[in-house]
This record gives sequence, C-alpha cells and structure tokens, in this order.
Amino acid sequence: MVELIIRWICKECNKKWIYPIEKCVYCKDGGKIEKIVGKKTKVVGVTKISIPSPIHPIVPYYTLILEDENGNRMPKKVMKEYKIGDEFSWKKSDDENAVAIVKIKYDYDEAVKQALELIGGVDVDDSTRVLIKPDVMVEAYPYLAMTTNPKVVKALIDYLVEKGVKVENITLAEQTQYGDFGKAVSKSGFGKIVKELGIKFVDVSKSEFVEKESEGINFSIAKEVFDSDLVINVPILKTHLLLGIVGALENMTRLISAENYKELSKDPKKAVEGIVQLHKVLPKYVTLGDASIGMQGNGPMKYGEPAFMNMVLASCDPVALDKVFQEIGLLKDAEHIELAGKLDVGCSDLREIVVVGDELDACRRELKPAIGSKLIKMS
Amino acid sequence: MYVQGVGMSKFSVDDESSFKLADDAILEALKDSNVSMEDIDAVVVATVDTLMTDERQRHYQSLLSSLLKKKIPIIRVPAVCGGGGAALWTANRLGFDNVLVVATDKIACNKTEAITNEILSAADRVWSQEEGLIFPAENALLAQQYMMKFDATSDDLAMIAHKNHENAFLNPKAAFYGKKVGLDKIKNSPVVASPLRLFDCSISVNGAAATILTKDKTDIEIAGSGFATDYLMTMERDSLVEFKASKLASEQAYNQAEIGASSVDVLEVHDAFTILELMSYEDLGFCKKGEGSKMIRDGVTKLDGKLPVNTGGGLKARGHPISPTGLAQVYEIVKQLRGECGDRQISKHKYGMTQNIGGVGASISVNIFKNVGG
Repeated sequence: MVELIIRWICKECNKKWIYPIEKCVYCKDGGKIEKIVGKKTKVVGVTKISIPSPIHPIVPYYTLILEDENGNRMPKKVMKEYKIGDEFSWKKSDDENAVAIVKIKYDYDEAVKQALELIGGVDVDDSTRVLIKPDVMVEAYPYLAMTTNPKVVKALIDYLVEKGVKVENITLAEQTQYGDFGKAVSKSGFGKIVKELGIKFVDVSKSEFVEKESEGINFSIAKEVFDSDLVINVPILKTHLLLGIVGALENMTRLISAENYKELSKDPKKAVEGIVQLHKVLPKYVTLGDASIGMQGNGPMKYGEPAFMNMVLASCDPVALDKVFQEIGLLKDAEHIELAGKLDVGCSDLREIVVVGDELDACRRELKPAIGSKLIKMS
Repeated sequence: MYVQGVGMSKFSVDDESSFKLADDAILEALKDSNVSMEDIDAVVVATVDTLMTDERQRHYQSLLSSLLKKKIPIIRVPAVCGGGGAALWTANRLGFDNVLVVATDKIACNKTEAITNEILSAADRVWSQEEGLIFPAENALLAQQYMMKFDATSDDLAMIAHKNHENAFLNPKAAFYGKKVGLDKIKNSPVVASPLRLFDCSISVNGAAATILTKDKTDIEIAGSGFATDYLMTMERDSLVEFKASKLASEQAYNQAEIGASSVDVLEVHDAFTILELMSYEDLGFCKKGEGSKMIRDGVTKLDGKLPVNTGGGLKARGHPISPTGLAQVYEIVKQLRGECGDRQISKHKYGMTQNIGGVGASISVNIFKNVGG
C-alpha cells in the first residue's frame, strides 16, 4: 500500500499545512516542520460529476472525500464508484508492464517515491551503481518544458540515497543536440544539483562507446550504460512533430554516438526502427516519466508549449509508459510505440497494461497534438 | 458611510462589453444619487481576470480612468465571486468623501466547459482543480455532508431554487425576469454533481453593478460591515457543513450595527448553489445549526415570510456575473429598504443584510444596511 494523505506540521505550535513548508511563521525560530502521513484512508464523501471541462473531459467521474485516521482529508478523482465508508488505497503491482501515474501534490519527493514504490520500488544497496538519463537535449530553462524538470531528478536522487545508494555511485548522462553541453546543463537547472550533491554528469558525446547490432542496425552505445547496475531513464514527456510523442523510448537514443544518431535520423522510417531496435540491445531499465510540466503542441522544441500536467509516471516497461502518456493526452497512436510493441520491446496494448496509482481515465485530458505550422521551418 | 445611489445593468447572457455594462450601472447609480461624476474622489472596482471571452484586460483601473475621464485613485479589489462585497467593505474604510464602487464582468459568452474551467481557477490548483472539483462538485460534497448530518433533503434545496425563481420573475433586472420555473422542472432537472441538480446551480451571466458611498447622511446607512477569510481548500478546514468566515464576518457586522439577527428584515445571501443559502441561514445566525431546512419548509424566507431572502432572485435566478453579485445584492437591499421594489416589495424595511462569498466560503463579506430616513 502507498500512503496518500500527507500534512506538514509544526511540532512547536501544531499548525498544519497541505503543502511542504520549511518554516513556520508563528514560531520565531521557524519551528520544526515534520511530515505526517496517514496510514488508513476511507471514503467519507462521494459526488458523481456529469459536466465535462477541459482538464476533466470524460464524464461521468467521481470525486471522493478521503479521510485518514488523523482526520486529515483530501479530494480524489476516480472513475470507479465508491460508497461512503469504503476503504481507499493504492496497491502496488509487480507486473512487468505496470505503469504508475501519480499526480504531484506540491511535493515532488513524495510523488516520485509513490510512483516508484507503486511499481515495486528499486532493488539497490550501497554498492549499486546507478546511471540516470534525463533529457537535456537543448540549452533551455526547465519551465519551457523542453528538458526534464530537475526537481524530479533531485527527488529521484533523494529517493535513491534514502534507499541506500551512495551519492558517489550515482551518475547522470546526456548528450546535448542543440547547443553546448555545459551551458545546457547549467541552464536546465541540473548544474546546481550536480554541484550541490557532488554528482558526475557525463557528456555522452565524449564517452567511450560499445558496439552493438540488432536486425542489421549498428549502435555505438555509451559505455556508462553497461558499467551501471541500474539505469533510470527520466524523460520529459512531450509531443513531437515527427514521432507524435516522445518519452521513454526516444530519450535513450541520446546514449548513442552523435554520428550514429545522425545516421539513424536520416529518414523518419529509419528513425522509428532505430529507436525500437536500440532497445533490443540496451539493458533493462526503469523509467521515471516527467510530466510535471510536460509539453504539448508543436514539440519537442521551442514551438511546443508547457502542458502543466503536474504528474509523474513510472514503469519498468518504456513502451507501456509511453503508451500511457499518449493515452493520458488523448493523442493519436505513435508509430514507434506500436512497432516497439509488435517487436516485443514492451507492451503497447493498453488492455494488457496494468495502471496503478491515479486511474488512467481520471487523468486523461486533451493535449494539443504536434501538427506543424507555417511558422516552423524544419531543418 | 452612507449609500448615495445604486445602479445595476440587466443581468443576462447578452453579448455586451464589460465597460458598456459598467457604464449602464454607474449612470443609474449617479442618477439615483445627489452627486455627479465630478464629486467622486475615488473608485473601488472589482473584476475577475478572465481570459475566456473576447475581452483581455487586466488593468481595469486604467480602463475605468478612460471610461470615466477621471485621474483619481482607482483601486482594484479582486475576490472572485466575492469581489463586489469585498470592494464595498474596502470603500467603506478608505476615508474618501464620495466613493464609487463598481463591479463588472463578462463571463457568459463562451462554451459552458470554458466557463466552468475559468471559474475553477478560484479553487486550489493542485488539490481541487486537479481532482475534478469544479464548483458544482465541491458544493455537492458540502450538500452531501450536510444532508448526512442534518435533517435536509434535495426537496428542501429545490424549494430554495423555486423561491428564488419566483422572486426573479418579478425583478426586471434578473436573467429569469418574467420566466416561470416550476418546482417540478427544478426537481427533474439533470444531476450535474450528485446530489446537486442543474437548477441547484446559479446561472452565469454578464453584468455590472455600482454603489456610491458618501460621508454625508442619506436615507441608507452602512450600519455594519464585516469581512473574513478561510483556507482555500475546503477539506483543509475543520468543518464541511458551515463557513467559519461567514460567522466571523457577520459577528463583526452585528457588533458594529449593535443589532442581532432578529432585527434584520430582509436578507441577500450568496446562493451560487442552493445548499449555500441553507447553510447561510445558520451561519448568519437566523436559526440554529442544522435547522436551516425548517426555514424554507415553513416559508420563513419567502417574499411574504418573516425574513424574506433573495427577494431579487438571488444568484440562482437574477444571475451570477461573478464580481458584480455583491453589489447587485446591495442594489436589492437598498431598493427594498427604500420601498422601491414594486411587485416584490416586502412590508417591513429597516435593516437589510448582504452576504457575498468568494470561492467556496474562502472570503466572505457581510454588510448591514439601515434605513435612517431621508
């Protein structure tokens, strides 16, 4: 079970907040703020809603009042009918294609922890070498939604450390496609994190590469991938002019050499095949999908726009995760996701995917698709 | 302060600009008063930051400067649905000789989904907006909690809606003026968020209302004026069956006016949803907690009852243009106290009260008006 209702309480004056605060304005020394988590949650109110609205387009849906043993309450949107008095909990799944959806309730740490725990957590100890692959493909501020939100990665690192991973065993890796790697790391907000925590951020373009081959396609893959015990992919979930959407599957392509990438990107068909075949030679990895902001419209670059989705996704199956993101956004099927499903890279059949945490239908909202514009000059 | 004049536009879904509506309301208020535009020292304006219609204007102070051809202080007091009442509360304390209080909003000229979504921005982003708590839903949950705890039914709520439609039928400024809405139609309207039906919800309209306050004695005095706030997310509050801010604001107003609830002859409450009128009877001290439904069942709050409530049709049937609602309530009370309400005129008229709510009980103003003679 995963705990849902959280409050932040000042241990000196007992005032409570529904979001994380660092200092209590009633206590001159700032108080001592502690997080309290409800262990048992039950339904104390239910309403069935029949009016659609842009972020809640599918009706009917239900909003529950949940209450924990401390008397703390929260609303929760669901599609399944509950009765007053029912117990409410989020159950974990160890299904290999399980996808967790968690809405961020102001607290990135809690959302990331909940998402990963819902899919069974990560098996790590103090000797585990972890490689984290965010999306820092371009020099851009994080609020523009072109790059992974550093708050999500920071929460992930904190979670790993809490689970026993040594900071010195955590490495970030990325290859910037547009602009300078150092400037991109700095502008995207990752520079501050790696400096504060003393974490390495590898420029993949300067890596050693390991040669792999799948179905006649050659890949030069960064050596760090194979030197790690656990790879965690942290893509930002975006719409994409050529691919429809990009998320887990596409983000891993920047772990191959620039020349290799250029060759595979020559035509869209080859790119789709390359993304999928790459996954035949990559080790299994965990994906933490960043939709804290997310992108909609003519992504994945500056013509896209922030979608403010306020959620994170997690899965051991990148195909299932991308499929679920596509479905949340009510977007059309993407060719690379369907092909990945067909070639058993993962599961693209929504009927087979186990969604845990927030319900998929309760999270659906119509994202603007990438349909192009006369303003955009494709290179 | 005293009320010099009141004015309001017709509340409707007609496609009129917010400044045209404001112009209508201000002109009527000036005609109703003994002052001219030259005498106005300051303006307090309430509007919402809506981007959902063809209007896109956040610097309303300057827009009013242009409309009124004045370069005096123009202060904006946005408090969503409670904007009009909050603006009046503010103007009453500013110390100017003659203050124009005006509220105007154009919110009705778009798809229902867009209006619903825009209004939702008055709720907590992460908890309420993301979890589907559109305003009818949040109020439906309050209604459910209330009905579980006290003796109240959906039929009681339908009677509130019916009473307010009956009153609006007689009010030429109301959206439902001259339109009969029977109890059966109300009871059989579709459920929008259980247990609330469509006719438990107020109608979104465009409109404006204005009040001119003065230091000089007139026939209507602001005898008491209270304002209080509460946490944005209802579920963070101690109780889901009362609005603490309503109690606090009314206590302030009663203390200033040196009267109790029993002295109030006519009442305007914020019935954005019928359950809110029921809860307001109690929160404002007109009956004990849990006994609100008895007031509607016994006909106490009808036009010919002991305490007529929402004689102009309320938000329910006069219409709810967001910020102007609080000043439309003032318009109705002032007209009632002066005996100028025609077919809907009540018999007793010394004290009248308005209660205007922003969000779901998140900011509430309560004003008591006294007829002190001409």
